[in-house]
Amino acid sequence: MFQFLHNDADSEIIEGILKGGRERQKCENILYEKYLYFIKEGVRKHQIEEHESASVYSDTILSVIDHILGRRFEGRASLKTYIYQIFSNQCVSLIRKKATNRAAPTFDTVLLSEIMYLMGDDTQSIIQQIIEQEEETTLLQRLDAVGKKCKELLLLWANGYSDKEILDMLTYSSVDVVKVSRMRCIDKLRKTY
Amino acid sequence: MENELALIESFFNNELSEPERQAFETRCKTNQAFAETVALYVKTKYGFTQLQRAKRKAEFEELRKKHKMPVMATAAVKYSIAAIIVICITILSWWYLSEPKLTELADAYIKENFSTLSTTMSADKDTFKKAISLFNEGQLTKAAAIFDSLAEYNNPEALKYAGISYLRLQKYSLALEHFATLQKQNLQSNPGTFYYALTLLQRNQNNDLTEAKKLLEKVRNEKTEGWQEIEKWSL
Repeated sequence: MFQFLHNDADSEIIEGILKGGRERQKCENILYEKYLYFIKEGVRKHQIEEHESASVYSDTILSVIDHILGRRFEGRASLKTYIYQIFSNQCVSLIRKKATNRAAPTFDTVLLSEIMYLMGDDTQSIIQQIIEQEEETTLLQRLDAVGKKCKELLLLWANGYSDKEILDMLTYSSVDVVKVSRMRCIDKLRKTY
Repeated sequence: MENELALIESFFNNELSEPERQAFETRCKTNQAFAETVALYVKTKYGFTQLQRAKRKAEFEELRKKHKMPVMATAAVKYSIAAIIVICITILSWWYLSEPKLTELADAYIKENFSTLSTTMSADKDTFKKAISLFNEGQLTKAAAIFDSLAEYNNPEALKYAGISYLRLQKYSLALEHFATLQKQNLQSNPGTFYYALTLLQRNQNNDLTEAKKLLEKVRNEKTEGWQEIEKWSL
């Protein structure tokens, strides 16, 4: 899959992230540290504050990790080029947002689109309208109050861990129990509306 | 409800056939209750992703702070740095004369010392013994995974062997990370710095050679584990 990769260090990081568990976190940190100098580049080239550039850089790395986990990074460019492209685009978006003095949208529409990327645009729009009937802060408070066990389980799931990996990390008896428990936690959330 | 959620999950996991996908999207458009369940699923994933991202961003920020260098250096600091560089260049000049030889020596050392691990060392625990056997049988990935899990408890030998396994697997970033952690352990005899330098010599990218030379010089001066080997190399 990663036949176009330019160097072994890239595939080492990608394999580590895909492996999951402790190695995943290590490789995520290695990836974050590897291109930290982009932050200074963001400050220099886009004239943004250092903390803004650092925040954009963190968001970029988290998106790239999601792309690797979702097999959407195909290795047609090196990781460095891929990260730099996303980082630059996000810096430009930040500048535009600042220039137009627009309030940040309630929801991160990029993340929503990434979650719903398999859906047609018109269906996405319907679902997004329903989602936006609630404030993001209210949603996060609701999720935070779902109960310790559900929160632990749903955080790992949203973080891209498979049911098998969750089974290895938490105290469930089988993969099926992990899946059923996850569904029950979502159902529990539904009942809070 | 659970059946509906299972169907929704199959959709987002891309496990449905094309007709099933189309039926799913039509149902979203025509059935308000179903669309709300889909929205709940997406919101849950979105919300927990945001919570997780906030946590990871805070962890990344901590990492960044560790790396952050002082922005302004005073003139005195600049002159001191320049002086140190000149001294380092003088002291290390002999290394530069033997550049190709050094990587070959490191290569030979790794082949000679890291091909098999002695089972008499640290063979008191079954898991450790198993990992050493796997290493010696050439099953390096499995051995590395076991050493790695044992290294989690700050076992210096597990750290060392995990690093060696990753070095043999040519997973240099992971090897360097383990040897860096090993360096920080308070041990009577610590090979961390020496092994870190060997890994840099094996990887041999960008500034690796220069960095490795500095570390080898440090090992030689401080007479930490590996210094006798370095003395031999300089002959």
